[in-house]
Amino acid sequence: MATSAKRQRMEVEEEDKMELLYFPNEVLSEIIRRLPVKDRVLLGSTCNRLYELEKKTRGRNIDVVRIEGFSISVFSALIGDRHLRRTKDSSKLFNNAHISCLDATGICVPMQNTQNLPSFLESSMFGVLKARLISSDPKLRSTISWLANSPSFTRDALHLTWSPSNLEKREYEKFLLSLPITRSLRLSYTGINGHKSAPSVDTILQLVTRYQDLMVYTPTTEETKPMLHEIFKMVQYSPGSKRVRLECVLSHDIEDFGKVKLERDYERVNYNCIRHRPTGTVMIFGLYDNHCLVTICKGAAIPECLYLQPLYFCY
Amino acid sequence: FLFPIKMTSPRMIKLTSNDDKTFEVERDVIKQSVTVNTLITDLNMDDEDVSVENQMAIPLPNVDAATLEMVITWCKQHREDPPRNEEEEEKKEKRTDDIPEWDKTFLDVEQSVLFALILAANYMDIKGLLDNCCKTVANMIKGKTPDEIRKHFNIKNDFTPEEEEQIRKENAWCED
Repeated sequence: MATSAKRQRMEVEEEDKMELLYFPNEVLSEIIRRLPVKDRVLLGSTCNRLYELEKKTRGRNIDVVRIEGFSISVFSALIGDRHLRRTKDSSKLFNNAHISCLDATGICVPMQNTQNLPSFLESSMFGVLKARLISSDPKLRSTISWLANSPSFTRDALHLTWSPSNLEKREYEKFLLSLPITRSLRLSYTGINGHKSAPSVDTILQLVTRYQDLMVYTPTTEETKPMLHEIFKMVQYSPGSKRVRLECVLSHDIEDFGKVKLERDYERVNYNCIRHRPTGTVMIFGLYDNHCLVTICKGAAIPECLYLQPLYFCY
Repeated sequence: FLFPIKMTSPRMIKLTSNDDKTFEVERDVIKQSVTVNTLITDLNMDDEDVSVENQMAIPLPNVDAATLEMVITWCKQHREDPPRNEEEEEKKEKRTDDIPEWDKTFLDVEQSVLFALILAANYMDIKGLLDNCCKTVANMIKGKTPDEIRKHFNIKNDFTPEEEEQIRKENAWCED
């Protein structure tokens, strides 16, 4: 009798179960948004639909976390943070880093005070981490590293700007390679210090095998041209990346740069070529204004530069 | 001097559920539903010359009578609430521990009832009700493992073993 009652009660409970997946996506997203990060992620790991929805819901509050330099003291309240227990000397780590959170439109998300940032990030998640390495202070790199490794970072994109006057290139690139891999990596080498400001061939070689979408923006001078050509050539035959884009600012001598490329015997590329050879490696040198846009595509991806309508293509 | 006081009864609106039950509800109460509010405006139903007897009932084809009755009860309770500023709500930290006591008791119902209420709040676009319902469901999810969530909400695991392994790696930090 008792067993029968129990079974009946279980049946009632069974019938009363809420079919969560019956909800439209907008309702599910509202529910997901109200969950702390950990619970969101665990809900997302129950089935494909919730996994996709959870990913889409991420970064809705914050799109970008931007580290700009060293001016304002933040993060002193981090000592008790769960994720920081893994980091040695966490209490000193975040002093002086200026960190701002931007929403999808680029507007700063208001925070009650910067000390709330860890819990703020914990409940919000962010997709893009932007950092300017304008200081050689190792604490800045530690801060970037902490944020890049934070579970709140969905690792959509990492944008790093480096200037040779502030940090040695070797140090910078070592740091760069130590960061977790993101879906997209955008690097800016700024400054006008000749070849010191162009990326190292070895570094790029490692990056192109790691990243599906890599963009490097670098100033170009006479000294850096041979290095860039080496990079282009190497990237063309590298197996890892689907899309690598190197954007160079040409300070002068555009025609000459075109001739150098001709000598290098790159594949003749035009729009038809891309359409007819969707699986081959293609390379486009596009010149517009004073920029040289080099796009190397592997697979069927259509390079974005096609839509920029460059003034001149050199083959 | 005695001034004649015009006694005006509150403006009433008729709503019909999908099982053909009609409810009369004060205009001021149902204004919390954006869907109904828009319909009233679009159909010029605010015309005071039309008596409630001659008024067209607004059909709510996605809401049954029992749920509609609950929705009206909730709207009556919250009729004095200040209007929500959605922009402000967006900026606010998302919490689930701030459900008002009355709502907590009101939403302490069988899952199927809560389920219907969420769908109705979403369809009728009643932000406050939807907000508190979603918080209630979020509280049910909190602290559960993926397996417990699946069991509680009848979710079928449709990941391939490879996908599951990948997700396990991605979520390793959650197992702290």
